Amino acid sequence: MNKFCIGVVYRHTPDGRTALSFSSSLLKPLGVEQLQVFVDGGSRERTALAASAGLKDSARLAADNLVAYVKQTTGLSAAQIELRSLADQVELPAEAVVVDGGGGVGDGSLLVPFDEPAFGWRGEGPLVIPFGTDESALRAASVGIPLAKLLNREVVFYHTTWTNPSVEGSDPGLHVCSAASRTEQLLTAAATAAGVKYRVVIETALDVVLGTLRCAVRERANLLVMAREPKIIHGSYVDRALLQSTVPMLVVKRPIGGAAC
Amino acid sequence: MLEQIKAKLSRAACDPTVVMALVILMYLAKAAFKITVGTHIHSPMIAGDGYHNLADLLEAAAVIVVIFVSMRPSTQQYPFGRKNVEFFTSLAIGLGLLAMSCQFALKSVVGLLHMAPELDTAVRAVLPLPVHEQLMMDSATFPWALAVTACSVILSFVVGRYQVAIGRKSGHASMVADGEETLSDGTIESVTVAGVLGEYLLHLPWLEYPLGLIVAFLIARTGRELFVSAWRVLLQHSIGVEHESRIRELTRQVPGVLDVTELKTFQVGHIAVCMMSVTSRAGALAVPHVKYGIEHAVECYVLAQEFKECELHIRFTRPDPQYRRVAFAAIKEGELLVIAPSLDQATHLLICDQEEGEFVRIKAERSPADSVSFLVEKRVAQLYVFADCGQPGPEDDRLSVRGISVTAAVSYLPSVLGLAVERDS
Repeated sequence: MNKFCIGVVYRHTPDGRTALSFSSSLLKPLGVEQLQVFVDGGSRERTALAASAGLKDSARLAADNLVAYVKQTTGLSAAQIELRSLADQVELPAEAVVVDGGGGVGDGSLLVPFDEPAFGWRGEGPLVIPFGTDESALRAASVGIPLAKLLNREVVFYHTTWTNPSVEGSDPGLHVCSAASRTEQLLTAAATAAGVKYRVVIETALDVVLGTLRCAVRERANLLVMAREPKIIHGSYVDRALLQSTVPMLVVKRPIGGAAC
Repeated sequence: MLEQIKAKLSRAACDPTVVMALVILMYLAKAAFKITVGTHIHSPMIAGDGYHNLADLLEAAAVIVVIFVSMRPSTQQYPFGRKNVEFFTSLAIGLGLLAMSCQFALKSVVGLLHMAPELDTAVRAVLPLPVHEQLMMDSATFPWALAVTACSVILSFVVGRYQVAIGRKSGHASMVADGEETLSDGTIESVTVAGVLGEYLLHLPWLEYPLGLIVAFLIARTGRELFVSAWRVLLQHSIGVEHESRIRELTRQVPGVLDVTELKTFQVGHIAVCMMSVTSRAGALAVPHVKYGIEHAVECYVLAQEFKECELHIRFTRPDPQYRRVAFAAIKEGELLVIAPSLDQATHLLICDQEEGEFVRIKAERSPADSVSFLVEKRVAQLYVFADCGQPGPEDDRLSVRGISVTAAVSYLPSVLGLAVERDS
């Protein structure tokens, strides 16, 4: 079973505080022992400026203050908190999930909690993984399915299709193109192999992002898992969903295991 | 062909006007039989009940008119339609049932008193009670009386239940109320049958009176329910504390909702109307999805209850901005800036306006000679310095006496503190 690694980008702002509480809520259900707290380490010039004002060990004091703050906010012990500098060349494993309202860290999967202070805070719900004709859904599923397994959640594979005028009947399933059907087969096979309960929802929504977000809201999803499609040069669904969603979103950057599913 | 006829009959069986036409036919038959048989066997009770059915006939006709009015579509003048007209009927039928139960209870009490002549005389000396009408029947009239009342009971129960079921299915409160009244008629008639049987088979003529009191109670209860539910709808009473509490809970479960600050509900016909104010930080692009989430959750719940439709009016409000002004003691050298360990060491003071905890405006002022007075003049509530958390700084006392608290900043780096003052070099 995959061992996830949870990180958070620390900012002393309302969004930063939400990210901190959300990330700490994932530790126990995922069986992760340490929370990696990424923080701006500051430049050499800044450290020198602080030192000139009598703050000789400013970095250590900042670290102590931060650990004290994280302990107080999350209830974690000092041993469960690992401070990491954003200034370093951060290399993260594919299983890394970094909670952040901004751009995240390196190529670790980015989890944006929006206003949710904890995972499943509003009650238990599934993980929604939208799929289309390309491989981005498989990349999303490579992280989403193991996460669902560990979090003991159902997965909803969502697809919205254009209506095929040559097909009679209003059942959206009849209008799905062959490439999307193949993706669906791969996704359901991956979920079955992982022993994760799943459902497939197919619609003919007016717009992909609209349909996806409405499905997530309707299903009371705990997490919407998506991955970027590199072939898109303008109008990424992920970017649009990030602008419109209130359901926490996980943007997968690298597939676990290097290959999709 | 046969299938088409079946489908037509099935549609007609669920049509409220067809059902009410059947009810009218039933009352016509009941009135005709009761008046004919009652007159024939010289039973004023059965004949009187027949005349009562004629009144029911008019009521059924009125219900048809009300159903037609209620089915008219909504207009600019009647934005919610005319559904509430049905509840005037329910109110009237509820009141009628309450009056009927009182009358029936009185008759039963008079019948019971008749069993004890001395008590009857004593009570009549104080209260003006109606004259007791003794059931006058012989072996020749008994089968007629029994047949007419027993058939009437069966008809009332069957048609009454049918009316209630179709009324609920089609959302016509007046039809449900009329059905309840028909069922009450059936209950009263069944007591009459019990009285007839009690007298002729068990020789217990008093049996119908205690039974009558129980029936009067049941009718009064039905009448009260109809009256109260119609009263609540007409006066726009809330749809119920339990429903409201569940609606709040469901709304709070939608991601993006921070709180439900206000919820008003009422009923128009069988439409549940919910007006709510929701606090959310969601931006303009996200709000439609939050709204959709609330509508979906609330409609699913409401339609699973006794309502046929749900109308939601949602007003989104931002959370309280909690405006406040704070300051950071800072050391600035060129473009480089760090948080100072104390007010005395600060070259600059960052005067920051906060909304919902975010810094919306930051002004860097050169630190004046009298920094404390400057901070007081700027109405600063809190000063941040970079120090060990929990260790009081040297300026704590100077500032606290002027109403400014001193707090240790977590970091000396502005970017960590959410202060977008410059780009790191």
